[in-house]
Amino acid sequence: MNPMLASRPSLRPLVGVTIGLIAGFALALILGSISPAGFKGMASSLVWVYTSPAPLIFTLTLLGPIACAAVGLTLAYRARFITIGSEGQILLGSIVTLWLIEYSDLNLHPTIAIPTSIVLGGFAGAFLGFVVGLLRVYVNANEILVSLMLNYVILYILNHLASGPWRVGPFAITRSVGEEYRLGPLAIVVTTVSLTLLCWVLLTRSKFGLAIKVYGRAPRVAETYGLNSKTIVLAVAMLSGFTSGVGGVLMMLGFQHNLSPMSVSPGYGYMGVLVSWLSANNPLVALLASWFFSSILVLGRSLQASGLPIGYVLAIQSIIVLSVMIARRLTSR
Amino acid sequence: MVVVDYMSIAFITSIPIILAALGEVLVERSGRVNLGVEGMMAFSASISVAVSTLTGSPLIGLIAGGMAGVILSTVYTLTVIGLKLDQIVVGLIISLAGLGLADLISSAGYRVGYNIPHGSTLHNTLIVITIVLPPILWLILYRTPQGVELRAVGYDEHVARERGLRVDLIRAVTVTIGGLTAGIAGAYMALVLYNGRYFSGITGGWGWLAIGSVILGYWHPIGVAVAAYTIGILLTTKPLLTSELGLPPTLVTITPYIAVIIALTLVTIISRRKPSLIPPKPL
Repeated sequence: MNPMLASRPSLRPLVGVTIGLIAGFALALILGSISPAGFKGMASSLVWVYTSPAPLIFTLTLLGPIACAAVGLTLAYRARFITIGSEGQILLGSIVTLWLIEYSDLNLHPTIAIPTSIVLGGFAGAFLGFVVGLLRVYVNANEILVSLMLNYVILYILNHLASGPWRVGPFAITRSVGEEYRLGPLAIVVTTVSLTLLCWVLLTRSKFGLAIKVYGRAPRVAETYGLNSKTIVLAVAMLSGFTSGVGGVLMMLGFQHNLSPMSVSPGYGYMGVLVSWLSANNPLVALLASWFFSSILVLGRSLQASGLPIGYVLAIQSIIVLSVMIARRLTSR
Repeated sequence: MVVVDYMSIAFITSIPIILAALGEVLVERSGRVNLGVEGMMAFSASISVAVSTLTGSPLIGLIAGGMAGVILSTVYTLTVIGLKLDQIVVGLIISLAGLGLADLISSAGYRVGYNIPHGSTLHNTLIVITIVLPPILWLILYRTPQGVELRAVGYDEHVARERGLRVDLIRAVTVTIGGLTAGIAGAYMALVLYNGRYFSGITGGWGWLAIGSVILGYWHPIGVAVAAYTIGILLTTKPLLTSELGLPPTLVTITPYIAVIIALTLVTIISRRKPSLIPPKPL
């Protein structure tokens, strides 16, 4: 058989994705030059982000929460459980981590404290996911809105802690995680890649993954085959919550180190949502896409001083995802 | 008299939630959901401040804000109704992109513009519009052939199509109206509630609360307006509740969000008890 013919069907969507990526990124950067950073600032920062060692390493640091949220969400979205709760789950994971290390009076040694916080943060996220899943399964409450509302609830609880009980000194800021507890880029990448592989194995090599996929494609078929839909939804709700919670731990130990009140959520969870969509819910592709989105975040942060609002990073990423979706639809016709 | 004062302040505060929610009622009644309300509101808030600065007129700022909402809703129309992309994904993308674009525009130097003063003719006009809009929408939805068609499209798309209704056109119209009301809502927040200022995070989840009040008000224009007003009371009486009743401020702040979650669970219980009250199924 002609190999060219065989490869043709798989090539077309790739072309669509590439066109979409480039067009969306270009459009977003051109729009961004409205800001005081200007077009020159955008362009030079773009080159710097992908060629200098410092931003490349920082990209790997910021990758943690985005990728952890995204790979867990691929499982949830495969089961058509459209949670947006990773934002709140990340925040809760980071709150729990800070509590364990700085406010719990346990004074754990780093070799115990770090793994414990990863488990604890993960369970905190899983708990939030469980609440959303429970409401969906038993009273059919829409998971998108419930999870979004919880994001705001957690954000306000964080603001309350940072400006009230956990505040130190004259400014609304908490204690910082001690140097010995902080994680470098290598530890972040190892944790992230392990979670990604775990999700990938679950999805592609396990019975459970098959159940998720069948349920997502045809819930009724899944039920006639004896797959319990409640179990599947609750499991993906908790799994995606767990990975996002771990993302929160990586955020706290990797680069955030303390908490202060914020009017807008930092957005790592929303980036995870976008990444998951961009990757068509494939954990391995999601890891790659997380790296790309993390590099855009580094780009945005580097231009913050010259006047690009950090909130625009999510807009750049949103425009890219929409552009890819449009290009894929147009090239698949 | 304190209570009356609070009730009227609460109404003035809840106007953006009521307006945005009423637009979303039409969208959801026609069988679609636009989750981009939060982003459309933020984007139009920023545009209204920028345009009022450039023109010196808060009225033109308000109109521009409405148009900004329409522009973002057009993205939804083209991609969801035109290209049949996933409505949930596109809606959330509009929310995230709208918030970022809003910050971008204000970063070009438009943080303080001209405000619409309380008690001005323009403000009073907006108050009157918000009061008369729910009954008018109720009349349109339940007492005109166009309203019946709109609800038919939301009730069963395929039957409506077979009956010769222009499903896509009807939805494009409701989505555009939803964009307009969300746009005016965002402009109102910036020009009235925040005295002509824009700052990052200005909408603070009110767009999501508007979508929540659509469910809380059970997809009925008057019910939705009452629900949005109730949320407005919760948002406005925070100082009263914390100082007079001694409730923790954080608890009061998160109450509206919790209320929406409770409402979401109640809707299912109601529709199980009364099958005649089954809501449209946009989500």
